[in-house]
Amino acid sequence: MDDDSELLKLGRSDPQAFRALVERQSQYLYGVAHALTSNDADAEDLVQETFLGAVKGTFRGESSVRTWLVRILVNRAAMLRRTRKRKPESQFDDAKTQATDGSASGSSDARMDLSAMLAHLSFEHRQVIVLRELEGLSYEEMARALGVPRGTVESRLHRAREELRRRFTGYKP
Amino acid sequence: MSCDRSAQVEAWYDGELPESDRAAVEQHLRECADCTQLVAELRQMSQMLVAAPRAQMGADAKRRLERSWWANRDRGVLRMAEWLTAAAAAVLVGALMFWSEGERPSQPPTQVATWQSDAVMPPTETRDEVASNVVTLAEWMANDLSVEGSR
Repeated sequence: MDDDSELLKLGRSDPQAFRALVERQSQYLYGVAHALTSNDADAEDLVQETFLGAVKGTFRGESSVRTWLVRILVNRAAMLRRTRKRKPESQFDDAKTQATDGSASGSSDARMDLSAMLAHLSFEHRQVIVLRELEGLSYEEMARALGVPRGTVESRLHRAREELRRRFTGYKP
Repeated sequence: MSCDRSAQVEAWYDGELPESDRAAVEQHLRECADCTQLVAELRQMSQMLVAAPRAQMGADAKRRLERSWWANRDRGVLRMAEWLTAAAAAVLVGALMFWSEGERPSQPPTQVATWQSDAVMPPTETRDEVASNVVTLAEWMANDLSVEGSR
């Protein structure tokens, strides 16, 4: 059992373990959450829900703790989006302009940040890009994580990449 | 991108192609400039995504996260306390009911007043008199029947 899974187990009742887990994983998760939502407040809520849900859940060791956390986060993001379904899709994308200029959340790097890169994709396309390109999940794993057929994963990934290539091929930071 | 094998090439890039198809796609890649270009672009895109700076979670957000953990734990403790209180109350009520059943003295047979029994049954002496009359009647009937039979 690695350190993260131990911290995850202890983090339910031990504040020190929870803090240590947050220290190790929160930056990464927040980056992913922000890339999915393009929104500081939603990203923070998602990270919070992910950690609190994770310490109550059961980690079976089928992947790394980080990948498991990202899966929880991606699902929570989908739930959050569903609860806002009545509002226009741009609800998640209100910060598009903020993200597109590469300055989201105090990122001072001159390169375009992840949120900005994904800002023009639909939510479903962002999901598959995060799970495939950042987490390296297989098509089958993505299908299970997202609850959609494998063929849907393949076509979403293909379209998402097409859109990214169209926008960023030849882009030099 | 005009090549109709691009989907297959993408699956190959992701390591999702069955082994039996890999050699054919690799051979195709040696011959097709479009697909070679596609792989180069996919590779560049993957590298950009992985290397792209991410939004940073501020110290305030981390503090809020920690506070939410404490709030969540307190809610859990309260829920547990409520549950335990309810369980204890149920046990107590059950025990009280059981105890009160066990302690209740057994009821002595109700004394029936003489007037009540007399109202439904005649006094003993009267009963004896009735009984002797019944016997006399039975003897009379028996005698009568035996006389009838001898005729």
